[in-house]
Amino acid sequence: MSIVKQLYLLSEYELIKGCIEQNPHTQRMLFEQYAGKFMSVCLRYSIDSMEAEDMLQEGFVRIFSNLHQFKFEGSFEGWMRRIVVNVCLKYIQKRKLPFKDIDGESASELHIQPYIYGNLSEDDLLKLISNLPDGYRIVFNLNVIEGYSHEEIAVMLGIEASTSRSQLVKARRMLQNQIIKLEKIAV
Amino acid sequence: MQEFDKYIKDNLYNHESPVPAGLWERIVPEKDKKKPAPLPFWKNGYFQSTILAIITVGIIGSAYFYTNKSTGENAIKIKELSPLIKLAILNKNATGSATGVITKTKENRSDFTTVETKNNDSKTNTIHSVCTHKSNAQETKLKMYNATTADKGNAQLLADNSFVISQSERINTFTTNKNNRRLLNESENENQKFERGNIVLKSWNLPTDNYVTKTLNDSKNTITTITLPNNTTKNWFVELYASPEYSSKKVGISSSNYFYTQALDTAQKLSAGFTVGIRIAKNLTNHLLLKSGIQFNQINERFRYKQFDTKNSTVVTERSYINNDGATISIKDTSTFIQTGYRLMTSYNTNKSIEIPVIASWEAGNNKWHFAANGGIIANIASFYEGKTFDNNLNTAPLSAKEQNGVLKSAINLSLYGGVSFLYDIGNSFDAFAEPYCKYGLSNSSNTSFGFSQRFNSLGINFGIRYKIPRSSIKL
Repeated sequence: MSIVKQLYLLSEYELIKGCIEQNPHTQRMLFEQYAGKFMSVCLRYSIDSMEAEDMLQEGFVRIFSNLHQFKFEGSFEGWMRRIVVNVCLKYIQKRKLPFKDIDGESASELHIQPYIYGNLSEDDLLKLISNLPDGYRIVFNLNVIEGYSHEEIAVMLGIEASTSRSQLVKARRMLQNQIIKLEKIAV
Repeated sequence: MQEFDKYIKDNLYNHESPVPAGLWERIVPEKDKKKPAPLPFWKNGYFQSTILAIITVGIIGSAYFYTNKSTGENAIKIKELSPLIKLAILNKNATGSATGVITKTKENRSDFTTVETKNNDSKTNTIHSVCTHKSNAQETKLKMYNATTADKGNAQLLADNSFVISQSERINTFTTNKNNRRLLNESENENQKFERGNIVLKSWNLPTDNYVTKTLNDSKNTITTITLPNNTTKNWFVELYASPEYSSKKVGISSSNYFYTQALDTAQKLSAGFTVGIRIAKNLTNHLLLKSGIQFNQINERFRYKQFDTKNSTVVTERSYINNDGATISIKDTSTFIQTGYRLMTSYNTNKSIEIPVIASWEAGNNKWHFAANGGIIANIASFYEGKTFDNNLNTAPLSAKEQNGVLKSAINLSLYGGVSFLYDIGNSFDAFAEPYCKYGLSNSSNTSFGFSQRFNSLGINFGIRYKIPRSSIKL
């Protein structure tokens, strides 16, 4: 029986319990189930795929080490995702992330129609986001994709909430400009 | 911008990227490195440190004892005298004899000892000879001979120096003959007293098992007390003690109840407890004592939990409007809502036990200090629980199974006991002692029907008083 099929036979409770009991088979199943998603998370925060691999590795080590602290309050995936994001932020903080305005970027936002970006694939979106400057990209990821508020981001990154807001607006603006350029090229 | 943000989130939140091959193989060794396999208890650093500390203290204590045996001028070594007596010698100025302190002892026979005191005039010595023998198991007879010397080295036995010794209810009167030491008479008269001569036996008690010489001065007399070797098998002691105690809990987990025990582990935190007790000790040999008694032990624990509460509220909203006819119409709208929340509660749990210690103690020491190494078993014969805990469903439940839905049952448990004692003679048959110890739980102390087991290990230090029970007291 393949691991994927076995996953359906295991409840989340059994999966967690098996991992806490250091069952290697269950641990492997947990890895197989979530590694792809968390790799995508790490790629959005990292500067390259090598760093993303390191982030994912450390993320899973922390998940397995701290699994016994999961109190079954809220989503299990959300709990693991927070750990992975925290690991990513730790890597980013080592690089002393600059939160500076990029010259020539206006804070005013563009209003683009959904049909313009609706054709973009997920990989295209990932590439566009990865091209954002570090500060923009991190705040954009944390706010738009992970759903953290500016106040939470401010605490996580050690910046002002207003800085987070301005970085987001500028990130969004830069992203939209890139999308429009892509669309023109396509036309 | 909400649409744009939503589009990005919908597409990327659950997006999966290919995972590099071999990443799992990199995670496995890292993960295992973080959590090493649990060591057996004899390889546990805590256990090893405790054993090492006990051995170290034992070696130091023994070395101290053997290097500090009484070697001074006043030291008395009278190994041949099997019954223990504590002899008080009072030199009476009124008799013309000089006061002095013991300067020298001689062992003339296996049952005979001579004690020589130095007189104040420095010209004469007084020789007090003490001989004891055991007439039967309950009685000690004592013979005493006195002599003075006009000049050093020329001892003369004094005639007619006699005195009375009372032991229990028996009165023995002894005297000395100038040329022949012998027992002259015995009497059952308890009231006989004799203070003639230059030496009077003042009193004695059953002493400790070593040789103590001490000089006490008062306004009239100089009293030199000699403690002779003990007949240790007759010594009984009472020990009163109390100890602060810090306990740790070792939980055995059943796989089906892992989350239950995890929840307990998170909610519970042990704090300092205490032990108080009384023990009776008896000498088995010169150095070996057996101790047993009863003690009360209390382990304290803080238990924090969430108390969930639901509140139903009814809200009546009244609105009024004017209809087309100009009339004011009043409408009442009733709605209810439910508020759910929790409060963080703290319960201070106590785990009280009545325990029987059975301890063997090897003891040695000098005049003032004694050292002992202790080992034995603590039997917990009854337990009483107060407070709250979780039941199987993680609901709050009483700790004691005596209450409805209670969790823990009282059980008989055993613990290993090990420690060392430091005793200091504070006089009048009392010793003060400090006794660092550790207790290692051998059996589980909770209800295994809940799928887990727990036992306690403890560290503490007993502070107490030991009283030597007198078996006989002899006064003149």
